[in-house]
Formats: sequence, C-alpha cells, structure tokens
Amino acid sequence: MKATTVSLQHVDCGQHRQIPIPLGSALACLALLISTCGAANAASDGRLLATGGASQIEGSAGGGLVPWAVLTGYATREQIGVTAFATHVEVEDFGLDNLGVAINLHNRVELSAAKQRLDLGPVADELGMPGATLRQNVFGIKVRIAGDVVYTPWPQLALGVQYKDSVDGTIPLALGARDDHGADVYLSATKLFLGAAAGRNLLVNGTLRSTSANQLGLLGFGGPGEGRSLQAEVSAAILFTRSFAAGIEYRQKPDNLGVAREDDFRDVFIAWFPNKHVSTVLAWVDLGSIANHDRQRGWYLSVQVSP
Amino acid sequence: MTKRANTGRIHVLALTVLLAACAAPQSRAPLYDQFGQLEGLNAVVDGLVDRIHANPQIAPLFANTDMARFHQLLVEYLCMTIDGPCTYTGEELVEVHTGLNITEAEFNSLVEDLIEVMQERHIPRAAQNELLARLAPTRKDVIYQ
Repeated sequence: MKATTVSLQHVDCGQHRQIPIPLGSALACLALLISTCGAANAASDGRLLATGGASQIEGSAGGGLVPWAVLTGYATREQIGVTAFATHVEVEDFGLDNLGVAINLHNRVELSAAKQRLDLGPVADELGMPGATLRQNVFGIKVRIAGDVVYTPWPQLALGVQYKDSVDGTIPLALGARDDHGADVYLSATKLFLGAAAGRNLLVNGTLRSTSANQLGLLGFGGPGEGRSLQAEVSAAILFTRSFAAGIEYRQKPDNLGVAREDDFRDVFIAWFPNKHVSTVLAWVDLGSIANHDRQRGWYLSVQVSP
Repeated sequence: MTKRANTGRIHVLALTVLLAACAAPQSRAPLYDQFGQLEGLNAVVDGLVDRIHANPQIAPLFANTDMARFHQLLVEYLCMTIDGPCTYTGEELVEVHTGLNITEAEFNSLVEDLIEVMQERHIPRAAQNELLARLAPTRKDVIYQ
C-alpha cells in the first residue's frame, strides 16, 4: 500500500510540469480511497485470480491496449476494490508513460483516472521544441451490463466511456485536429472458455469503440473532414496456468489527421498474476506509424497493484 | 508495410491461435479415469473437506452440515459430472443451498480450494478445467439462494 503511494508521488515529482488540478485531485482522491479501503475493507478479493485482467493503456481494466468487459481488481457485488497501475511503452522513436488508479464498485461500476505522457523524441526536434511531450488525462467509467466472464454461458458485457482531455492542445490543433478533448464510448464482450484451448482456459474479448481520437487522443480529436468512427478491437489469451497467460491484441484506429497517417495497434503479451495484489504484463507492441515516423515497434511493461 | 498487410498478418496469427485451440486432442483417457476413478475422487473430496475446515471464509457455512453425508454426496455428484458410474442421491442443488445465502466470494473461495486440491492430487490441468467447465453453470443454483 505504501509502495503505491510512493510510486505515484515519485512519478509525479519526476515530471517537469505541474499536475493538472482535476486529475491531480482525482488521483489523490482515489489514492486516499485505496488506503481507506485497504485499511477498512480488506475483503475485495472475492473473484477468481486473473479475472480482473490488467490495466489497459488508458486505465480501464483490460489487456494491454484493449479494454475488456471485466472490472478492475477482484471485488464481488458485496465488495469494493481499488487498483493502481503504471505502464511504460518504448518504441523506436517515442516513449509513452501511463499512470492511473481505478475503483471497482460492487463489480458493477468501474471508475478510473489516468494520465498519459508521450515523449515526442525526434518529432520534438523537428518541431523546434526539444524535449516536448504530449500529455492527456483520461477519466473512465465502465458499467457491467450483464454476464460473468467465467460463469454465465454468454459473455460478460460492459459499456464504457473514456473521456480524454489534452493538457495542452497547441500541438494537436496545429496538426489539424478539430478538438483537444473528446470521449470514446465502447462496448466490450469478454468470455473465458474453460478448457477450450487444448485443455487450457481461453479468454476472448471483442470491443467496439466509437471514437474520434488521434493516436489515443494524444494528437487530438478529429481532423480535416474526419470525425467520429467505429473501430473494432480484439484480444485472445490462453491461461497456461492460473497465474500465467499469453495472448494477442489488435486495436483498429481511425486515421483522421491529413498530415500524418495513423495505423492500427497490435501486441503480443505475457501476463503474470502471482497473487490478487500484483499483476504484470510484458508485451511486444507494433504501433505502426506515429507522426510520420513509421514502424514504431518495441516493448510494453505494465504493473498493477492493489491492497 | 501497408496498414492492410498488417491487418492480414495479425488475422492469420489470431486464426492460428484459434485453430490450435480447436484442434486440441479429444482422444484423452475418459475424464473419470483422469481423476483416478472413485479412489481419486474420494481423495479430492477428502482434501477439499480439510480445506473447508481450514478456510475461515467458508467453514461457518458448514457448521450444521453432516460432513460424512456431504462427503458421500459430493463424491457422487462429481462422479456423475465426470461421466462416472454413479448416481447422485442428494436433493436438487437449489434446495440444498436455500437459506444459506452463499455469496459469490464464498463460492469462489470454495472453487479456489477445489482447484488447489486438484493441483495437489496431480489431476491433469485439462481434466481440472473440464470439470470446472461442467460445474460452472451450476453456480446460479448455489449462490444467493
């Protein structure tokens, strides 16, 4: 528990700019909830190991790049659970840091807050702004509509919103984005098929997202003549044991900006759930072309903790 | 590399994974044999009963249970579930659990105990998962009754 708080503070302090107030407050609030819940309500571990998934890149429960229908952590309908995560993605020319917290209310509603920082690398120099970063805050809500990922014959279904707000919209708007904030709405269906993969458990997820976000929103929202569109995302993973899984993800993305092509994302990952308090995801990611820098491939490492 | 070519390649990858899953060998020993028949099932249920007593979250639910009878009926039920030559002589699951108001968390705690016992007894993982797959639909008859 202490470690979570320390690491949050540590990363915050490492940033050059002040934390934006709304997200700062949200993070502080949720961090407080984490400590409160950790002390007062130890029982938030009622679901089976790995069924909370990991924290996907925008802070919702999911795989690495794709949100799933599962809600973060292990709380059941009697319980409340909280998680915190940190993810770093390192590709050819860019680095992306993600940090956030989430709360699961009775395995019905998930609230999340995350901040993302894209280190622009060589693009910063091209823009004559060495060291420049693109930052946005993401506030998420996800509601489990029906089903249970393990027990019901039909998949678990959830509807979610990720509201994204650029910290400084100057660069996205200069690139031709229509807006510096926007909301993604998604519907996810996730099902664990027991013993379906050569006797191992197979998890399959499909997500349909309505979005106008360029590169997750880090390059703004919409573009010349382009707005909201529907995008499909899929994940498949095999649980080799209770605590080890490996899988693939594919995330279709819009291509709104005229000045730079945007590609779909994909990854291959392994996940480790040593217990209900920690999970780790290591992935190889292919983010395609970002700001006219092609073949952005590299590594993704994510750690999630909960009290 | 065009976007479309990327898409094609990942689809092939996904398809391979799914085909590998579907092509799982179905010609294993019968499930009942993989569990070690009645002797194996008895050992699993022995281990499970020990764990129930040691599990403070669910032990109270069995405070008024005749554990010898529970043992016998559970062996029968599991035996029947894995196609063994047994007949379950107990009542319907809903009736058995009515009034206990078993929560999701308590149910899962028992499932975790069962998985650990099966692991301890070296039941093949595929057989474990097959049993769990067959038991999963019964959860609705057990919880919150």
